[in-house]
Amino acid sequence: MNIKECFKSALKNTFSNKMRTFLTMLGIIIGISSVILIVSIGNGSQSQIEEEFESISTGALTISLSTSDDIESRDILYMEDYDLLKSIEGVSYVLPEYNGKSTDIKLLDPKETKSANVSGVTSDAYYINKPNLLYGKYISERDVDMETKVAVIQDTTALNVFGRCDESVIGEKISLKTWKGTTKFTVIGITENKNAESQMQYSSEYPEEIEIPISTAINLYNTDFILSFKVLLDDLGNTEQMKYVITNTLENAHGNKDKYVISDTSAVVDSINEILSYVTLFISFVAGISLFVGGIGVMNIMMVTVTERTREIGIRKSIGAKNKDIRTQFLTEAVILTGIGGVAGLILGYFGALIVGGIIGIPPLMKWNVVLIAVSISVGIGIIFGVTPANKAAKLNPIEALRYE
Amino acid sequence: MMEELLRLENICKNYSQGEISVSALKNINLTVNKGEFVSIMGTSGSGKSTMMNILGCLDLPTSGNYFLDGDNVSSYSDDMLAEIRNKKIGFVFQSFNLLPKLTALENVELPMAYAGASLSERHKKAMAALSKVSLKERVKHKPNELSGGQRQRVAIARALVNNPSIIFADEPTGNLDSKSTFEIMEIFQKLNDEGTTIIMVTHEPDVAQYTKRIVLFKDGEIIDDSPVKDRIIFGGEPR
Repeated sequence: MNIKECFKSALKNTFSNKMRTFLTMLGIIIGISSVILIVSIGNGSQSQIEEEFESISTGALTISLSTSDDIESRDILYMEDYDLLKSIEGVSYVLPEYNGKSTDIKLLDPKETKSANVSGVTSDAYYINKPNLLYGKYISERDVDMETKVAVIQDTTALNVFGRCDESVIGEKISLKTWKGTTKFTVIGITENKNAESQMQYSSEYPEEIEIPISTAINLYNTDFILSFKVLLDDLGNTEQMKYVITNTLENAHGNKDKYVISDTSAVVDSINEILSYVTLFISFVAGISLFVGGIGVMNIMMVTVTERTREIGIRKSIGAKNKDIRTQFLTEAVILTGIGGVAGLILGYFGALIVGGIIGIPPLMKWNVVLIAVSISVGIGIIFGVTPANKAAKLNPIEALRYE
Repeated sequence: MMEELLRLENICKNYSQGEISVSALKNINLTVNKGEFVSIMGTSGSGKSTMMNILGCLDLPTSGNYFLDGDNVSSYSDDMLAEIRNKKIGFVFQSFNLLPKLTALENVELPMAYAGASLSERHKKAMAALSKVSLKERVKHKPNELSGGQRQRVAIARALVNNPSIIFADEPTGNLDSKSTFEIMEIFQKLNDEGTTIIMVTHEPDVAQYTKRIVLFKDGEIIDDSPVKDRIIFGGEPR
């Protein structure tokens, strides 16, 4: 008897008692569907997090002072360190992070002002922050060298200050008020405010973001220490080694040890993903227990089936069925039970994930390997829990089986 | 010219129930030639069923040799016995032993499925076997839609389908009314006339009268083995 026939006759037998078949499958259906639901929601949120982080930054390292108490003045980072970092081989761009304090900006109505975040930047910021430049140009190396009074503003700021956002804003003057007094800056570029949409509702509470050359900023605010540096590497695959080189270089220059920490966003994504996959794994494990229970249900029903069909087994043996024919027959029935249950669970789990994902706002992600694994697990359960009943059937003595009432 | 089909040499069969050993067959010697039609008779417990199981390769003797078609099958494994049952033996049981979920045709086709025949060959041979027992019209019916006699005819067709060397019938008419009994015995006689060897267990003397030879069992031993006198022959002289 070939496999195809075996399947046909097993299918026939499986569906001759629909209620029992359905109830037996139910355990597998519930098990597989909950695993699929959990895993696809887990994968969905994982990819969502990855996407969000990707839009924030692309593999930049952040070098900052450690948060320990014993920081001495020699440890503090300055613009000298900027040149030092720039000189390290393998470092492509360096951006010092420098924020001016308590600055106001004059709005369209000259009597009104609004607070502003002023960042001192170098030309490298263009490559690290990747702003979307709408009009004009970005701050150049020359601007930094010459301490020019130029500023790059955002489209939302342009609207607030000039009441318009177009080419004509370039070249206009913008007034920044610090404790020193008012300084006028020439607008040379307008970038897109990527968070404009989410800030819309509370736009008055968000300070305006303004970028000026870092040298100009140091003059303006009279402080010259740098909070942190952002560094972009030539080769992202080399991150760990480069962290070591950068730390070493800084420590040699400052004559200290263990005062700097380097973090990269990809590490954050990795650790979030790790936690998420542990959670997914744990819940899947719990769901796996229900699969196991389902498997026991299948085994139980197969045992009953073998007993019920003892006489049939005897008849089949008397007309020439070998032990392996009988074993294959019952094993096939068990695999059909769990296989169909698995596919049904897969479909149910997918739709369940769509519904749950819709409610919690995470689009589920069903990967092909998960589908494959789920189906093979359910078939595997059929084999594992079907083997004992099938062997019991195969080993029946034909005479006793024929006599069975 | 008689050609030997099966030979039993000193066949013994013991069953042990706990510590007591029961001897069901004691030193049986028997030879059956091709073309014979043998009745095995005896009261219940005489050992005739045990005999049938061993002859039918459903069971192995405790000691002794059993030659079927020249092969000593008394030491065969389960699977080798299954193959012998499939290829050389056809069974007809008292309770028909058809599979209830299969149609008559599917029941007849089943032995060929285990023999690995193609679907078209199975269908052809099964139809031929069913027409031999005059049951060509009801092939799509399931056993519970057939009468007892018809069921037994399906069983005979199933026994015939692999063209066996021998047919073993265990009380084939035990569950049938007298009309069906005649039908079945007529079929057996016809098959025997065509050359099929048949061994039949029965405890009804008048059924045994249709056969050619009666082997009588008592307490696990053959106490008589003689040709049938005044044999009833269908289609010959009227009864």
